[in-house]
Amino acid sequence: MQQSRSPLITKDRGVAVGAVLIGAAYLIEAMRIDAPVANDAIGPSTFPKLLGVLLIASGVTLLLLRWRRVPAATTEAVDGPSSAGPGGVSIRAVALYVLVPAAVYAWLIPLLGFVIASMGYLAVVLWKFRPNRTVANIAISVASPLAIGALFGVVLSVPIPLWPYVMSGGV
Amino acid sequence: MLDVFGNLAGGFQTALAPENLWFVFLGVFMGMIVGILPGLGSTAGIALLIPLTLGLDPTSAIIMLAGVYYGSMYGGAVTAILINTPGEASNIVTTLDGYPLARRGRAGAALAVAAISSFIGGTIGIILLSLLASPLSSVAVSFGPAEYFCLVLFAMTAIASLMGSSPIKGIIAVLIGLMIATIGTDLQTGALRYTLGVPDLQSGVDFLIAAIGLFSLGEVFSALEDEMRATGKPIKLKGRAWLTRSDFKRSVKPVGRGSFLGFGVGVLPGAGGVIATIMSYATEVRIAGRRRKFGTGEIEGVAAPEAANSGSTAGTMVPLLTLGIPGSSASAVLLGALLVYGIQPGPLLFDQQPDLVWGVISSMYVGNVVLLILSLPLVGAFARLLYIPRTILLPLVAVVSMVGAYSLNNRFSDLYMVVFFGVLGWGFRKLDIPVGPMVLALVLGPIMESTFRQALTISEGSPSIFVDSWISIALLLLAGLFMALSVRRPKAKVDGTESEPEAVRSGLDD
Repeated sequence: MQQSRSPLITKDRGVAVGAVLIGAAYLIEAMRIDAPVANDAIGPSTFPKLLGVLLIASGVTLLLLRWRRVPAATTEAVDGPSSAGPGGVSIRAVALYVLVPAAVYAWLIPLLGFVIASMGYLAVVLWKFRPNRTVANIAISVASPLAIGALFGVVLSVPIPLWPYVMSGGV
Repeated sequence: MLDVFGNLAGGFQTALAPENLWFVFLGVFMGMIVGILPGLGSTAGIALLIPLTLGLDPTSAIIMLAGVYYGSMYGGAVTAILINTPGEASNIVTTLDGYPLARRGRAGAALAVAAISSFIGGTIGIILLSLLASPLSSVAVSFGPAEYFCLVLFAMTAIASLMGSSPIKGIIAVLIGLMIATIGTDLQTGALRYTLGVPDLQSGVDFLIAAIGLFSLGEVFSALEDEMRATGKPIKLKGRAWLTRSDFKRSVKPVGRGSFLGFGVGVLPGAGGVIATIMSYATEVRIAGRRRKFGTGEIEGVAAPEAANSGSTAGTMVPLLTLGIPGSSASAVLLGALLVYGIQPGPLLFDQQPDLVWGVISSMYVGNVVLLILSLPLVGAFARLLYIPRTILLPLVAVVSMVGAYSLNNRFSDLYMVVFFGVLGWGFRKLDIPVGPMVLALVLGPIMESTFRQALTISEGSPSIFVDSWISIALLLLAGLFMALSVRRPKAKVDGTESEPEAVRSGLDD
């Protein structure tokens, strides 16, 4: 057993500090907004400055509210950003299997087109989350992008790049 | 009054003509399909379908597009309930209790109450539109920039104080949303703000991109994380996909209140369905007090905003038809369609083209009935989508979200943006920061800033303009009251206990 602050208080303090930092950065940038001849009474930087000040004030308020409630809860472990969660899954694992595939998928779409990039994304995610169902996973990975692509690209005539540039003949 | 009934009778003759009936049916059906697809809300739906109507008679074309408008509104609610992805900004509030209801196996009830509430809200709204269109147009123009600013401020305060585990975090979410809304070119001066030298940011951040990322992808990431932790529970549909007697009883008053409130707010140009849904939800939370735990799957939390949304749809037709002022982005596209057909909305439209105006109003009655007829049988089918194992459904939602995000502006940079907002949404969920207020602030931010600046320009920089009229004062007092009451609201414990939204997300309420 270790004496520690509760996860919610730790999180809230993180949110408070983050809000102050974002507010400060936003405020500094607001002061650098190049305002030509303003057509209105206050110009384009007043509203952002106001928002920056309010966010800093909100962050400080949250910090003060959580600072007062210091009584430490006795918990087994703090669910901090780098620690494993209840299922023994770290943030790193979530990033690797959930966030990174989505980011790579977005990056590949302009190169491979929606259909092939989607097939790849679905194959990776399904392989991770349904490892013992290879045939079904392949079928879903191949059929779904074709169906979704047909719905958007053909039925609704939404101009999406379904295939790689070379395969679509530049269309 | 007799004139109204006479005109309506004539309008029904037009709307019930077999070919127009077919166009209403087609419009509602296509609207539902378009509304269900992430990224393609009513605005995009109407815009996409305008070319299909170019060969039609103007009355038939506008009747069909009005059907698309209604259908897509309901379609947006379907995705808000089933996969936590609002099709429209005005469906954001529906996710708050609709999605938790679906997670508890009551998707059918949520979808049914959404359909019925939409029908009642729409019908009440259209009746009010028929009776009050002319007198209300003068009320709409009495709202100046200062009054609008106070209205938006009130809506923001209400939403910040009601969503999430702590009002201060709600305020932080609202402020971050407002900050993102300032990214891009300042329309009044042309100054670039927060674009970081990225050309695609000069046109600002599309709220639908943010909404798809924060709600849809954010939810996919969180749910996949739950699957990794083996804490994600499969959704089991409970009972019939229909409402219980208690659901009906509990929904009656919220639907009535939401319908009238929605219409009233919808009449104000620019306010639209977003503020209407926020205000109706806030009203229900305040009326229910501690009897209900909103945000965990209360039927009133779906009934009231959906009725308000449909009521406001009818309300936005008042300034559109009588003044030529669109009340929402979708009605702005409708205005564009009217202009394409050579119809100039305004005070004279009712006199000069009564057949068209009353035909459209009557077709809205018909469209509402068609929407109910089409949507109720499909409730069970929609709810069964949740039978698909989550490990298949979630990546498919991610794929559809990406396609939808790209199709908004046909820009690859939107794909990176949607992933960024998805990660942000996932992070916000982990930190117990509500994402709803942020997206709503992103929608209302431009209105808030422009009205703030216009008001101060009129007053030559004097802030006293915000307390010059009784409307502004009343709205400011209401905003203050909401904040004060929210401080007294029972909060999630700060002893490490999971807060409500997270409890809902991880299915602990099952």
